[in-house]
Amino acid sequence: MKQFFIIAGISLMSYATVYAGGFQVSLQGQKQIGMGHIGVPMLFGASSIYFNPGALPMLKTKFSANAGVSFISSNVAFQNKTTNYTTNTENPMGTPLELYANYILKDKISVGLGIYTPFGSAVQWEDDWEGRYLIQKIQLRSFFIQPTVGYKVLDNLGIGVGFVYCTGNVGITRALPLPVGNSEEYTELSGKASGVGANIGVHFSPVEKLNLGLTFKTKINMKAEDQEATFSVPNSLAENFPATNKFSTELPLPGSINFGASYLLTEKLTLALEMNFVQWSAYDSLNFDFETNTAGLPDSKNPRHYQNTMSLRLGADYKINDNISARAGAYYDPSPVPDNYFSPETPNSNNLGLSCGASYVIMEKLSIDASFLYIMGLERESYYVPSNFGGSYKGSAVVPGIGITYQF
Amino acid sequence: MKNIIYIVLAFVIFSCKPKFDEIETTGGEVDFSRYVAIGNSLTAGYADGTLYKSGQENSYPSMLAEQFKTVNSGLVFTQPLMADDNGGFHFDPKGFPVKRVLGYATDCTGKSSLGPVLATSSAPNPANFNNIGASGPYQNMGVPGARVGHLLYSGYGNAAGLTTSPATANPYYVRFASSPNASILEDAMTSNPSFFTLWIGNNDVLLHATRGAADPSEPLTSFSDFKAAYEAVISRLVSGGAKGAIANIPDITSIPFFTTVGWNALDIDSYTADNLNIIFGNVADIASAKYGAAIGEQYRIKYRAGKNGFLMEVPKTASNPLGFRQLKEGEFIVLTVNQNAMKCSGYGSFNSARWGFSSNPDSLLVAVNPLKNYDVLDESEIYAIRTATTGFNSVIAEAASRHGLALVDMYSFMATIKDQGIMYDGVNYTPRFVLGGAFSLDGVHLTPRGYAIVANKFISTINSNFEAKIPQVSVNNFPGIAMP
Repeated sequence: MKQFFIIAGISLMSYATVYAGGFQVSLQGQKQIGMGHIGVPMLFGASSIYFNPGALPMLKTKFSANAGVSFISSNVAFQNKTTNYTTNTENPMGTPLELYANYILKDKISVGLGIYTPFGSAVQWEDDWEGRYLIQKIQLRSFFIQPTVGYKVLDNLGIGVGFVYCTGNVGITRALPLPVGNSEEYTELSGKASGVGANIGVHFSPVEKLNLGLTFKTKINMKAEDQEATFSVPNSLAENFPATNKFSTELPLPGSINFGASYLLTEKLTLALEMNFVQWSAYDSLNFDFETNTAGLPDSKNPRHYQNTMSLRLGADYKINDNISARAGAYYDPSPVPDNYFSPETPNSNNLGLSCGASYVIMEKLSIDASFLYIMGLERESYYVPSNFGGSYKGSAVVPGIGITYQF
Repeated sequence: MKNIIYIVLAFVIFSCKPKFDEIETTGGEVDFSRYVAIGNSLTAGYADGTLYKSGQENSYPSMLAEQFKTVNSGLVFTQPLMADDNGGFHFDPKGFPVKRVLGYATDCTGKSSLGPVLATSSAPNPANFNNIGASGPYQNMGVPGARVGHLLYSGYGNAAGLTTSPATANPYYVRFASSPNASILEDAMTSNPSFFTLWIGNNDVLLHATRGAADPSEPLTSFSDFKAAYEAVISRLVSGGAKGAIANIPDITSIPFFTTVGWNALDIDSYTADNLNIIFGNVADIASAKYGAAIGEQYRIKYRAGKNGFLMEVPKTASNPLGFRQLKEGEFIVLTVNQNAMKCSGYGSFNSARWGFSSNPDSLLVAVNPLKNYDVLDESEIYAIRTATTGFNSVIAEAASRHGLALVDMYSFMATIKDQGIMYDGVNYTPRFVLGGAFSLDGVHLTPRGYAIVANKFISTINSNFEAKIPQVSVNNFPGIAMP
């Protein structure tokens, strides 16, 4: 009967819609993933460092720590409607991590530290695919390190603020779009970038059973300077493409405003919803400024023109008994990528996510959290007009995850 | 209960790999089961100054046949392949060179630079000249050098006609003609085509133009001869009920053969310009003394630092007794012009070595070194060529509409590529010599990628005319000009 509920929960949620997009990775807490990645109004423990710093001073446990990992197996299919060419990505498995700890001092003040990975991307197309002059593979990794303080203003009102330091690295490989040559010329850009920002939140419980949360995450400008650009070309082209060069670039990680509410419907069942307004319009173009420019290698300016998005999530948490909780959720996360500037380096569609999850208390202070998320990227026909390249894309991902929570 | 979970998980993981349905292809109103291509060097897959095996394998008809197979998998398309990848013919008295590749060559100034060089110094493979007519019929009936009239000509493939003067046969056809008295058109008809492509007429202007309109053995075809021959060819091709796509003739200035060496490519510094001004001042003074200032002053050519127009020879007349003038914008120099002579012997301006700093006025005049007529297309020659092109294209358009054939408008298509280039999947192709990627190292014929662009133009025209859905080719998957 208990297992039945989990399955019924999934099919029920498939009628609901709910959030993600671009190169954002919405996998920051195993409990939250289990219910559609809703976390802004929830009091799930130290993971609120990411979801809502305002919830941290409201936690019922003096110390709470949480660690987890997800395993993303994603795949995108592409079809060119003119040549009938079809292919699939060969993406490596992504493993975003999360690590949080929070401690409440003197009942009112919380201090915590989180390390998590809210942005990243790993897309690998076949080396000789039709879009190889736009992208062959890209690896984008980021780590956010966030020391956080919270303050319980009233018994039902908490506020919190975190300082975010982000460090990341990127690796891009693409074929050089030369009309002449031996069909094997390529360039590799790789380097490190960093930036800073803030994560601010409020948690409020106006009446018993109802929890509200509101957070504001600032945009973070990731800057990379004098990183490595290598070019593999035949000798006769070496003058135009010096084998080693340096590049500088900037990549904005968008800010967001997030609102969520949860309601304790019965003693055992909590229902929740969340909305995320993500300011993707910050990502207008991706420019590479090369240290050495030649007749064949001017600075590279690539329009992106992303658009702001609003995602919606719905989820439920059911306390089966004192030791076991089960969750389910769904979300809809529209794509920020416009149809005429759709680059296969970020093949992102409107996503529908369905998730379930469970927690099991192993011993008094320790519990295990598991989650499973299925993301369906809806089919879209899109082009990258500056390169006259495009076709139909659709994608999907399965993301199992596991974590532990330690609290007292 | 557990089983249900496994089934659900299996379903979710299986559906993880998204898939598209295959796109439907159809021949529409066309039966593509027997396809024959007729034409000249462009149809044969000629490139880099010769016909060679991999060039033929990347001919646009070969690409079309592959794409037609998506709707008629039984289609058979056989090409009269050359023996190897060097190409060329080794026979008396003339012979044809092997292909060109990009390589380094040293010019008259001692500077080494990248340019077209012969692929090998050894003679072409004699096997290229073996007659392979018995292995036919061939469905690629493209014969390099053929004008429209040649398609009808019985004996164009007779080896005996190669050594007559003038030659009456074409070695490219001799090697695969079904018999000495065969014609290209009748050999094509033995395949009983259900669909044909025809791209012919280019040589009716081009053979004349590439020789600077100066070779009496390669005149412009007259309008009436063209019309009569073209209509005869078309009536025969459609006689069995075949449908077809016919392409017209691009403007000659769409090809880098005429646009690479500019009319004003004499790029000099101010010291050289000053010297030339003094020299041509003297030339004008000498001519004025002989013929009067009204005539003599035309030779006071003004040079300045930077780009200057070359000189070209013109017939000596009373109004131009020295027989030269400066080129104007809109006139063209052929790619085969001796560029070393331009750089080191003042070809197109003044050859100081020939002058020898003699004080004799005549020696100064003798050292004026205009471009020969065969290296230049002047205003009136270009006008005649364009008039012929427009006339031939009207014959082609009329034939298309009368017989319900698809008209592949290469004239407009190549003009668009000339103006804007054409981009496939991030790679932009232009008619620029070598670096543009579309034209091979002879500046007239295409690279495999260029032929792929042509194949796509044929396909899109066929699709829209006959309600067909033939997939296009991926241009960038074909070889480009190899870079050393």
